[in-house]
Amino acid sequence: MFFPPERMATAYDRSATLFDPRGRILQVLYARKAAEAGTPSCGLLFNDGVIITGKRKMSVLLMPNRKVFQVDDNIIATFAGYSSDGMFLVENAREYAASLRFVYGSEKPDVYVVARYISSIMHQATLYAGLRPLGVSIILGGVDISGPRLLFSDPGGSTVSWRAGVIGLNAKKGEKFLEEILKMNSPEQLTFDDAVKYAIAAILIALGTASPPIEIEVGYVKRDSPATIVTADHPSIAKLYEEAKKIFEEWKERISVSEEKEESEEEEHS
Amino acid sequence: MAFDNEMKNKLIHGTTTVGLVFKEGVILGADRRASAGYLIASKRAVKIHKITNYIAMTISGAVADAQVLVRWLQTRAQTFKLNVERDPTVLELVNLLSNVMHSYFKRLIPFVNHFIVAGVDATGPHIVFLDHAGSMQEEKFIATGSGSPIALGVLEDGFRDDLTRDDAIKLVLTALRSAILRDVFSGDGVDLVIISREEGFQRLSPDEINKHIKLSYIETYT
Repeated sequence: MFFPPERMATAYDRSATLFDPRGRILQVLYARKAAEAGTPSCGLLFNDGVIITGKRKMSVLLMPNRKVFQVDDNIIATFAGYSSDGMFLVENAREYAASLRFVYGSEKPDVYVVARYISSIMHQATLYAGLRPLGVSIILGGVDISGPRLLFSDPGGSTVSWRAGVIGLNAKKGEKFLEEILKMNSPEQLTFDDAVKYAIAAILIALGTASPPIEIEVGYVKRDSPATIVTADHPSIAKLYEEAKKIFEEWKERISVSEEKEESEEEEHS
Repeated sequence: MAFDNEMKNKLIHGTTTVGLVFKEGVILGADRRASAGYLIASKRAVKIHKITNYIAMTISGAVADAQVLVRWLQTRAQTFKLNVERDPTVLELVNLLSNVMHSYFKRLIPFVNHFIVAGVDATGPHIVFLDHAGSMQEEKFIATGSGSPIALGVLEDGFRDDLTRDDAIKLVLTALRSAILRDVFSGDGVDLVIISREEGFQRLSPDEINKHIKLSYIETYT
């Protein structure tokens, strides 16, 4: 059969079990794109645990949705991308964490083990024809016997341990902010209040607007207390949200100034 | 049926556990002796297990079977809670457990246990008795184990619908005491758990139990 040259190049995206000549699996890249189009979520380690924030979908017509999910007493999760795929993974994570309790009697199921299990489900979908990769990135955060852990899984099936990270739309912008923060403080120096502030600010930066607190969900696990998931208008978080908003405004200004500078420099060069 | 008698004998060996409904919630009590024939295998066995913040169960019969089922039920309750976003009701958990026990009973490899599953949920306080075949029976008060005939007599005599917390504790302690004094396979002290709507699962400390024993003019457990 004859294919014109462009057609040949794109035919490699027909299957998730096929490499293209450059060594990429295009369906996985597309799945990653789907994940990058989801509403942003952020994960951040601090000295006493881990925080996950996310923007939930809100409208007058919608009943309140969730963005941050509890997987076990000591594990929380969030995802960006197709929510059906995400819920499928979260439910599997819950079952698996519960099975770790049953089989090993673990009081705090190991976050890495659960994350690996989730990743292996995503990986399976890149190995067999007839399956499609899952269009979500997922963050698993928790505290286990080895301390606070934060793990990111993507449609390719990798599991990476991060200090802080953002997934979903404009993740890069949020991560740039977190990079600045973590250059100055290591997670061991971040207090809970600071971490909540920065994690909310990272979401606002990725969103580009200061979403109302009811739309921001904050989940956290500390060393000695089980997972808690609240919205940013909760009394314990509301004040921190206001500070996060300030940080966001300042950052926005800084970025726009530096962007202008870059533009004017470019003009000078030209 | 020989099978039935054998089963009955196995079940009846060891343990007295009691449960009753009172004004604010439910209360569960159990002795702490684990026996293996005429040997006391343990003097500090735990026979009341927490399933959720508002549901607990007592175990009697084969310890291994019971512990596996407790662990299994804990995981089911946990995933239920997370997926459905509410606590399971007592009857939901009993149904679940009953299905498992009945299916193994029908395959002739039964779990050799009697359970009391008790707790407070949206529909009020519940005490449910569950046997090795999977039958379930909701009760106001119940006892299981080898000491149950003795304990049941005391409960039958002392139970009223409007027991206060202190009266309920006293009644449970009295029932357990009678069973411990007359049943060879029960003894070594007691464990008490109270579940109320306000405070959820509470395991009474030995000090608290001793305080109530003194209040109830019961001097010693033998």
